[in-house]
Amino acid sequence: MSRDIAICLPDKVDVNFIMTFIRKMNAFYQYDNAQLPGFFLRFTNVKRIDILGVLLLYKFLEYSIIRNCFINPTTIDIKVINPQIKEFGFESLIASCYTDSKKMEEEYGKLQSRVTNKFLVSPISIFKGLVDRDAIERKCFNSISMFYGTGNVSDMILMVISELIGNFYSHSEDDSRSIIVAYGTNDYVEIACADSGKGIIESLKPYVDSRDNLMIMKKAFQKGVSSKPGTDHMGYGLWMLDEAVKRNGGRMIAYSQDVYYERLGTKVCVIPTPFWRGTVVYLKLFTRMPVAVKDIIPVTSFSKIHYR
Amino acid sequence: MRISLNRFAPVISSDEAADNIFQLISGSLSKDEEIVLDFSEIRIISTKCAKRIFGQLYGILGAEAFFSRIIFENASENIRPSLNDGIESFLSDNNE
Repeated sequence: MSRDIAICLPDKVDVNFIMTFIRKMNAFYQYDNAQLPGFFLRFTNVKRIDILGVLLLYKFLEYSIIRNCFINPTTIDIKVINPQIKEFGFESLIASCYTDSKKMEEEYGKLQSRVTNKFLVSPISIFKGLVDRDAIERKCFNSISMFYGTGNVSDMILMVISELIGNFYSHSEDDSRSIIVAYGTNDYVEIACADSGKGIIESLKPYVDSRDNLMIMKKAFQKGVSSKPGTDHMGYGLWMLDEAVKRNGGRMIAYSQDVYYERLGTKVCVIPTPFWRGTVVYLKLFTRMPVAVKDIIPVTSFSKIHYR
Repeated sequence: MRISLNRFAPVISSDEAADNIFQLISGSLSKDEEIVLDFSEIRIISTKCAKRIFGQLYGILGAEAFFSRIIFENASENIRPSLNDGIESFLSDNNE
C-alpha cells in the first residue's frame, strides 16, 4: 500500500535560506526511478521566493521528472507564489514539470528575456544540443544593453555573464540542462546559474593536489586553476567572478556537491552543506560601483603588442 | 589590410567566434603587409579567446612578424589586459 509523500517548503525560498531549501528538497535524490505515487509539494507557507529559489525549485522538479521519481506529482497552494514565479519568467516552465517531460523540454527551449522600464529578467537555457554559445549570449546581451545601455555597468554585467555562460557551457552535457537567469534593477543585478552536471569539485579533482572537497572549492576560485589544463583555458573564469564581487562589495555564492562557498565583499566562507547534484552560482552586484576587466587583470609590462 | 571585428560585437568569448576570427586573419597573411584589427565595437574579449586566436597566429608568424604586422586598433582599456594575458599565456606555455 502506498502512502503520501509530502515536502512542505519553508516560508523563505531565497538566497539567505537556500541551504534550508536544498536540505528539504534533496530528499528527491533518494527516489531515482522509484516512480512513487502520492507525492505532493506544499507551497502554503512560502512568502518569498527569489531568482535563486525559483531556479533551484525548477531544477529539483526537473530532476524528479527526468529520474522518474514520482507518478503524477502534484502541488498544493503554488498559487501563493505564482506571481513571483511569473515575474522571473518561469511560470510556464515550472507548470510544465507537472504535465510531461516533452512539454517541459519545449518550455525549457522557450525561455524568454523581458525588459521593462523598471527591471530586466533574462532566463536563458544553456544546452549545447539546443543552440550555440554565441546565440545564447546574444539573447542575454541584447536585453542587458537594452536596460543598462552601453556604459560601465553594462560592461561589468557582460563580463560576468560571459564568464558564467562560458563556464557552464563548457561543462554542459546532455543531462546538465543549465539555465542562467538575470534579474536587474537600477540599483543592482542578480545573476543565478545552475546545472545538474558533474560540478566544480568533480571536474577539478583530478587536477589539484587535494582530496578535500572544501579545499578543492577554495582552489576553484584561485587564478590559473583550471579543470582543462593544457588547453586554451586559463583558469580565469571563477577567479574573475570572485574578484568582480570583491571589488564591487557584492555577494556570490557557489554550490558544488556538499560544499558552499560564499563571498560577501572582502569576506569569504567555505563550509559543508546539504548535497546538490551539480553546480549553482549566484551573484549580486551593485550598479553604483561597476568593476571592469582592467580593474581585475593588472595591465602588465608586456608592451610588445602594437596598439593604435 | 584592415579587418573589422564588429560583426562579433559586443563580446568575443566563444570558441566558434575565436575560430572565425582566426580564419579571417589567417586568410590575409599571404600578403606581406600590416594587418590592422579594428576592435571599436568590441567591449569584452575573454583571455581564452585572445589566447586561441593570437596564439595560433603567433605560431604561424613567429615573434618578429607577429609583433610588427598585427596592429590592434581601437582596443579599449578593457580589452587590452585580456589580449596581453592571452598572448603571454600562449608564450609561456610554449616557452617563448
